Amino acid sequence: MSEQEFIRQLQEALSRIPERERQEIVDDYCEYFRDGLAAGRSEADIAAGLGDPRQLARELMARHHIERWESRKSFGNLFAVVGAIAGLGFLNFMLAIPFLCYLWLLTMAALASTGILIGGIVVFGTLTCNALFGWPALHEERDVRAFWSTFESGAPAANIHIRGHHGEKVDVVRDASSGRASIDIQSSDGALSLERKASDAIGQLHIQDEEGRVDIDALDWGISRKGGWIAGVVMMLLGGGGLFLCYLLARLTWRGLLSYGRYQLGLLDKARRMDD
Amino acid sequence: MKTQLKKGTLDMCVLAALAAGDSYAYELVGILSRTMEISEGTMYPLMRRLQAEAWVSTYLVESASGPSRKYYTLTAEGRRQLSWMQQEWREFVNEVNAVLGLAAGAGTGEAS
Repeated sequence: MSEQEFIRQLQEALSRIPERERQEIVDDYCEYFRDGLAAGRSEADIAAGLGDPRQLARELMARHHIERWESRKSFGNLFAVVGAIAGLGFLNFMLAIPFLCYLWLLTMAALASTGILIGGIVVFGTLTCNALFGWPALHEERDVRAFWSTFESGAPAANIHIRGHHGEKVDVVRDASSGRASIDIQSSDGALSLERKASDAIGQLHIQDEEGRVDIDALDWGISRKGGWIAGVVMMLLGGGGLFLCYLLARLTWRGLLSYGRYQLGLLDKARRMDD
Repeated sequence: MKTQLKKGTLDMCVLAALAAGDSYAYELVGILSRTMEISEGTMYPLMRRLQAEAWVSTYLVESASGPSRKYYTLTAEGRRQLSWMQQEWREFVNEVNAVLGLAAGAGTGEAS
């Protein structure tokens, strides 16, 4: 191989590292050729001594990416490291595929955890802010609760039962002692019922006509303050814990990856020394 | 076993060659290959690693004939590293020699 060919292949294989660094490497090898030629050797002899330029480039790239990752740990850099190690050999290439899947899963898990954490912070923060400053107002809760409490305690005290001739009926039932209350309206072509269970603040709405039926459970889905706080804290713990776990896994992963990369580079070094 | 030592033997030799005086890549290969087997292809990746470890630094020297040449020189850190490696090396060689019965004086004492 001529010097020109050697340098061309080296340059081509190094196309993905910054211009300045590539030029430095190329200059180094040009210098080596000059010195070798001055010592009376042929270009082919020097090129043979230096080895396959593409393999050299792969090794330099892997080293470059690992160093860059160590100085700046970004996600893009991590993928560059994986790519560079994959470029070192076929087996590494095969290993890279499940590894990239794993990295992708890890990313998804981290994103999901972040979402849950943010959700928890928002719920908790909103409720706390509402409790402390009365802002933001939690309309739904207030309205539904107000409605029920008015309904429960308001006059007239007696339950209402109205019957029509064709099966129509209206029932308004309140049981102050158990807290159960319901409104039932039925006509020949449909029904509507609004019901509050005795045990808690959850209401149910059922609407039915000839076409179909709509059921809404948990009408007051109860941003009951205490429940909300608990939910917020649980979400924060879950999200935070998940994120921390992802962080630990990621740390373990990139440490392993770098060790593996160095090990592979070490093997290359050794293999080259054995060639002599 | 001192794995660091095994890995670092060639590093140590290059550092030792540079301790004798600043040099450039082609000359370094020449110096080392006088007494040991070394692949030319090993040199640049090796020098880049030593640079990354900050054990050597480089400077350019203008030459009368053609472009400038890159010289490598030991840093203070490199000197410390070299003396640590030499220390490790001596201990390692002594340990192995002792086991093999090659240590100076050990053989003669038994024989006479």
